[in-house]
Amino acid sequence: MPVIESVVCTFCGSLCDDLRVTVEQNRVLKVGGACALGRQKVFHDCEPTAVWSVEGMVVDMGTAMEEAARVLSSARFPLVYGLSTVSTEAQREAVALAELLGGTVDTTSSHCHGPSTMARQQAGLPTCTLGEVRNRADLIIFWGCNPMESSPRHLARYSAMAKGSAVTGRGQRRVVVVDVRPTPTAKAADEFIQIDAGRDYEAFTLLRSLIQGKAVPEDVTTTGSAGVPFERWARLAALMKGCRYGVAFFGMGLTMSGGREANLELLLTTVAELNAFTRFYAIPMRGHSNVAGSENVLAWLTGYPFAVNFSRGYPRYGPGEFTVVDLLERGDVDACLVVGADPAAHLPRRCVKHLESIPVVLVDPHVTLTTPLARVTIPVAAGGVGAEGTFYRMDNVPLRAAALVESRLPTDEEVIRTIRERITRAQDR
Amino acid sequence: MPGILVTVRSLDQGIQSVKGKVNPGYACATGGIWISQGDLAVIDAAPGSMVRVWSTAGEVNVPCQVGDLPQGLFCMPMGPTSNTLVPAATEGTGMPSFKGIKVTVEPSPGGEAEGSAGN
Ligand code: SF4
Repeated sequence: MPVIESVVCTFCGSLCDDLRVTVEQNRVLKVGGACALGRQKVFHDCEPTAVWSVEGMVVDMGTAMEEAARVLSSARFPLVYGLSTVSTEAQREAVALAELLGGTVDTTSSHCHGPSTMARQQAGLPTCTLGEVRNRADLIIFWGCNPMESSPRHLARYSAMAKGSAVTGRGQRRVVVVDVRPTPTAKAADEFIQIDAGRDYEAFTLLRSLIQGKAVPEDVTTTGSAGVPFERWARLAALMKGCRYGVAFFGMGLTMSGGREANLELLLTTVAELNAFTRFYAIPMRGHSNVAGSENVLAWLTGYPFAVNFSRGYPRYGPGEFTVVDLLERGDVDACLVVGADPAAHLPRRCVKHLESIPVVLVDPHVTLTTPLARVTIPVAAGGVGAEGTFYRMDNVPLRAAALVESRLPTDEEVIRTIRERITRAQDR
Repeated sequence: MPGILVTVRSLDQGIQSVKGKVNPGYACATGGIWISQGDLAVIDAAPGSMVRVWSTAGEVNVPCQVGDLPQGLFCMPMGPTSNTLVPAATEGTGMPSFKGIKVTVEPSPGGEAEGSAGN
């Protein structure tokens, strides 16, 4: 049976590119090498469940495209949103459409790693690739992230348990987890530091002082910091300074809790300063398959990574202003194109309520929780299964995902381009 | 009792999401709360029973399970049910507080589970 080797899994930001998929007569029979999430994703994406529809009625492709173009071009403040699970080619089209509409483009990044990207704009990102982590890192810190559940092969393929060239296995690495609860990742670590919720900034302040050899006030040495005894922080600071190659993976435990981008600014500054003593890097633990790509594409095309508004004819950046949660919470948006995202499942209820009151065009392979509130639904071939495309791994390495089966459906890229061309033609008339 | 709610990823939630979010398995995987053994004793709730959870943003009735958590900290899988409790304010960052939400938990007065956070 024909086996396709080196298949890229497009579920999570790890983008494992070593899957073996058996395909016969345009059907996937077996998925080898993936975790449970990746395997399930490939089978699910072989059978798109969405249909062409307008106001709940099944229609032909042309009617749905026409209605999508009409809805978006007649809006005063349209939002193009999602984009974290689609190819960079589709992301590029989405930016062009938002510009044509004079609307806003924002991605799911704004409510996952948006704050860490804002921190990166202030402090920089001293970083490396996952290949370097695998080959060299002898100290790995997971802070506010739980890859055992969100990215299950991360530890075996890239980090804690990976067999690298210079660091050949688990025994040569020290793994530390900092989190508010003993997650499965914490249970796989050498050390687990259980921190009080929302007190990460305080912990980074202490770590930074310790790494720089500054005096620490007596009350801190006595009572500790962030609910953790002082000695544990002192030991972590010594590990960080004393390792040969350290990497801090950071997750939504930092971006979504109190302090948000300030937490990350301090983490990235501390990591940068560690390079006076050793080699130390930081990598955001990114969730969706191409959320890193969305930031890259928006940055190439507009200069900004998310929350970009074109209403004045040029790109303006506004976290807190042009970010999806704020736009919907305030009720600013009067039409929304959702591509490869499920806001009804993932946004605060108040935001979903506003989406229910405006026309939504949903481009997605599947019926999702957003489908019932969409005026127009447009099915597409899933990237990496029914369509090829480029995806960016969490370390910003782009990988080409091939199509595994031939799909009868268009790609996200083709759909968005068609909508844009229809709007352009109507404007030219 | 008052406490802090953290919404989290779970493997089951991830698997159910790629089986299809409209399937009952997804609502089930995202429709519960983890509470420490000690806190369950404080509110006098048995594992598996329904609890009422509310924040400034909304309220849900969900089944509770014992979680390996410090007292005063509750966890719910990310998804439509927990998002009912997430305030939409982002403090100018674009990011709402999906973690660190002030909530109150008490046994449900004979309430049924809300299949989703649709209210
Ligand atoms: S870890 Fe992520 S990319 Fe790798 S197989 Fe699992 S879901 Fe796919």
